[in-house]
Amino acid sequence: MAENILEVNNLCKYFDVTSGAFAPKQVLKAVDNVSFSVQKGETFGVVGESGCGKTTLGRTIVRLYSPTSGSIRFKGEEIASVKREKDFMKHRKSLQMIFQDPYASLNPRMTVGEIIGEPMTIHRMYSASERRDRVVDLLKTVGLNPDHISRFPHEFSGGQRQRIGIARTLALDPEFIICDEPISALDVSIQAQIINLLEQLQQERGISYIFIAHDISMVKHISQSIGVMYLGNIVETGNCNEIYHNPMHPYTQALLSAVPIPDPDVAKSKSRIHLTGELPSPLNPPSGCPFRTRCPHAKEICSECKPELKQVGGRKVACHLVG
Amino acid sequence: MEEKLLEIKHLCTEFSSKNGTVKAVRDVSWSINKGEVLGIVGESGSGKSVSMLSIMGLLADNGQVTSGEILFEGKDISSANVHTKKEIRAYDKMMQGIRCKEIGMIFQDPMTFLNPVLRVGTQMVMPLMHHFGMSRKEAKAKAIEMMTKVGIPSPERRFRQYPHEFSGGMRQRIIIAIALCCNPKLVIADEPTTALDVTIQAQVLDLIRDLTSEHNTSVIMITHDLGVVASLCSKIIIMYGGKIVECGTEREIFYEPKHPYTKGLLGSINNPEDDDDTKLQSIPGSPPDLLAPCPGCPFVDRCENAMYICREKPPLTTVFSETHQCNCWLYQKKEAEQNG
Amino acid sequence: MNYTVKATAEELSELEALSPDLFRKIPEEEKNSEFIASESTTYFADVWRRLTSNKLTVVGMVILLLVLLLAIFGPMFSGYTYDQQDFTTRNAMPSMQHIFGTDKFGRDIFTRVAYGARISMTIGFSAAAINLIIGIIYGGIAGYTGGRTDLLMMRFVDILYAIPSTMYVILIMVVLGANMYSVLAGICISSWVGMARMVRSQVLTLKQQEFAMAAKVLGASRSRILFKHLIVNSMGPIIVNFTFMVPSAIFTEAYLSFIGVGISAPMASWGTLAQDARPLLDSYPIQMVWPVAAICITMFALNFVGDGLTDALDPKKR
Repeated sequence: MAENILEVNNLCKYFDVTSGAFAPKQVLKAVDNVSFSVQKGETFGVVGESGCGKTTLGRTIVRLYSPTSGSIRFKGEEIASVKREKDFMKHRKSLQMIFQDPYASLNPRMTVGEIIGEPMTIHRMYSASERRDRVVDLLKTVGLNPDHISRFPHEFSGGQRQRIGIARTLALDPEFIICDEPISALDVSIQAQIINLLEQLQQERGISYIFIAHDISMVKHISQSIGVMYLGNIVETGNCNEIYHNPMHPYTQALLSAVPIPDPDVAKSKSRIHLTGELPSPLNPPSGCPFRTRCPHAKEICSECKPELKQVGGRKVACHLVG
Repeated sequence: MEEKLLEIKHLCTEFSSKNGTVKAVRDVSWSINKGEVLGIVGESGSGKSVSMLSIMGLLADNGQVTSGEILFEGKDISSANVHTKKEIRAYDKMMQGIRCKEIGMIFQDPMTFLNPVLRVGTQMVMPLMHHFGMSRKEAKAKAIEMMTKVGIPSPERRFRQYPHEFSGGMRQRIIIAIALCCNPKLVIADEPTTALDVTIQAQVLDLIRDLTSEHNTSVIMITHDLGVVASLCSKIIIMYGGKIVECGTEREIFYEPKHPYTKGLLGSINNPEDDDDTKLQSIPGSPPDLLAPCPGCPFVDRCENAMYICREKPPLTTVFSETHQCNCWLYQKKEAEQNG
Repeated sequence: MNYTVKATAEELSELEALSPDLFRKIPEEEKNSEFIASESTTYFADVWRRLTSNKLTVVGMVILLLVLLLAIFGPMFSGYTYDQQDFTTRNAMPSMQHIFGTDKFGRDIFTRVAYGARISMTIGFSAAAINLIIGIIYGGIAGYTGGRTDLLMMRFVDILYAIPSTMYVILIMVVLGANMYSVLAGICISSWVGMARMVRSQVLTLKQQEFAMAAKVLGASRSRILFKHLIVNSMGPIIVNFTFMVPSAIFTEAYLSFIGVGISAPMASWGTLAQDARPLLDSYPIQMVWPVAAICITMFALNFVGDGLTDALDPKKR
């Protein structure tokens, strides 16, 4: 059994929301009681619709947001309770993040060389000339032309920018990268490039990933295990292929049936589970099971108490009707 | 012989920019029959959206259709020869009669299409009153009927709400309702589901399919997602760098792809039905810069079979079947060798 | 395989004529799939190009340059000093000796206008520069820190802004005496508020952008994120605001001097010159024309430059 590089236990992140100066404060439970672990050198996929809290989860782990409660153990050390940014600095190098929007995640006023060199400047790594050499190496690693080192981000295409973002992350030699929907803004042919690059880096450098996406087919390709999120909760987690072929939670089943299959014969024979209604507002979640308002199998018990994640075979499911 | 509803012949569209002229669409020809669902697949910058905007006459100010014909039911609606103020006015008037009434459009981002300060209902009745001279009451009844059809709960109440009170999926339904309320002969859907979640995407695609087949409406589905066209379209056109590289029926494209780009595109999507996590076949490099396109095939620098001829001359069309055509030098290589 | 090539006879014969050499495969290293056709331009080179393509802006810049030259070199070459009185040539009309004429004390008006340009330009640019620095730091900190600090800082700004600036000047005059520095202090004390508010709103939107988050994840310090990432990206609106602040400071100074609470005699600013000419408006209106024309032309020039910069720096107009 490989060691866990990251363990998340009962993590919660709530936001206070006020809709007006005198309106009462409301609590938005963006991430509610989430637990999972990631093994060294492996990829954990997080899937869910927009608004399910997957991005908040990623940002809370890298401390862009401070967690409301719960524990995050990174390499055996508790990092959720670290209060000061200064104390967190030592983890910054090894815990990195790739962002969703390649157009917004690079500073438009910096050249590519400055962008990729910045993390090394911040952490005072290497001398100035070594930094430049490393930037050139990193550009080659991600398949970009080193001649473009003094160009600005707006001159590149989306896929090239995303590779610049990856090169910037790699400058610190991280052990763990949170990929926050890194491919959803890219064209299909470019998505495969990025996925292959991430896989190649994982093999060469043993980097572990959390891969956040709404597209389960790519998540399934890159991850060993996945967690399905709905309204801030993980509703099902376990081995990727098992979940794909035998989803237990009704939400997972619906999510999978909606995935478009790039094969006309299979696509036309496939039956879909239609979810009725829309995602409930996370400000005012339904009582009991969060999915009950759209669940085709909802029973009385579902509105009464919230199902806990329980072990069913090799995985965990949060549903009253399973197990 | 089936009746051609819309036929594009040798369409070229250009944009002027500070760095020079961008040739967004270069000599593109295709047609769509009545009741057919056509998929146009390509990445951003392949010219798929621009060719649609050229048809609708909705190009930005710096864009211009430089040549080509656009025949809608045999009538040329292209703006290639529209230059003087008088011609522009006449063209605009003609297009106003065609947009929405004859050709409906569904856009990628529903929020930019809907006017945020007008009630949804007002925006729905406007085209009905304009094109069919309906009274407000009739138009409202029709709009509410359409809202029910596209699956919007409590349409009477929703009719009076503003766009921001709707979720993304609901807004896209409103757009579909607006596009279909005039019973157009053709619906152009430009990436209708890209901004939506998978579960909503599936609903919206089913909705488009059901509603259009009901009235035998033709649909042009523009997308970068082969998964979307697989379940919906009977005919597929693959565009790259402003040109058509391959076209065929959905079976021909998915099971017998000919062009290296089509093959690469199919290889780079992961079919979740397969469990072997073999490496995806990605296409190396980035899309071509259309400021300085090479005279030959736009795919040459990313193609694993590229030959010197591909840089020099645009490939001729190779015909595989009545429906299946491909523009690639690979298939003319043998031809040239046999003859030469 | 079964296929045909769709081509005319002409095209086919052309095909036959092609040399087999052309059908060799291109080796991988000759392919250039990451090609970028457009030339690399820096942001400011691009802004400069668009700025100079606007004719009015160029006219404005030229006028501004002339006024600056006048301010620096005018008094040196006129042959007079600003306070040199000559009672033999009082209220003279423009002539070869005095190209703008003289005032009621026989002082050369051209020298005084040029000297006034010095004071007006100094006040205009120093006030704008001081506002710029205070505004960026104050607004930047308020916007970046957010929360309660932001609230307190902005309420303080509101209070400052609620008191008319004339009042500040008069109060400062009482303490520091009537000179250029007290006018400068009076103008600066409340006019940085606009800049601070603008910088704050820019920083508030930019800090939600992913590149700011990326910098935080990389471990960048607060000041690095604020200045290297957020402020640098709000430079466009900041520069525009700056160019509009210069004329407003010049105008405020002229207005304060005109109502008699600014620069004191015999020093000359455009405002005091206009004030001096006012009692003689009936008999020698020409004396009023020069300072007013100087103010108007400079205002126009600065506003043209400001408008041009607004367009040139607006990312939507690229």
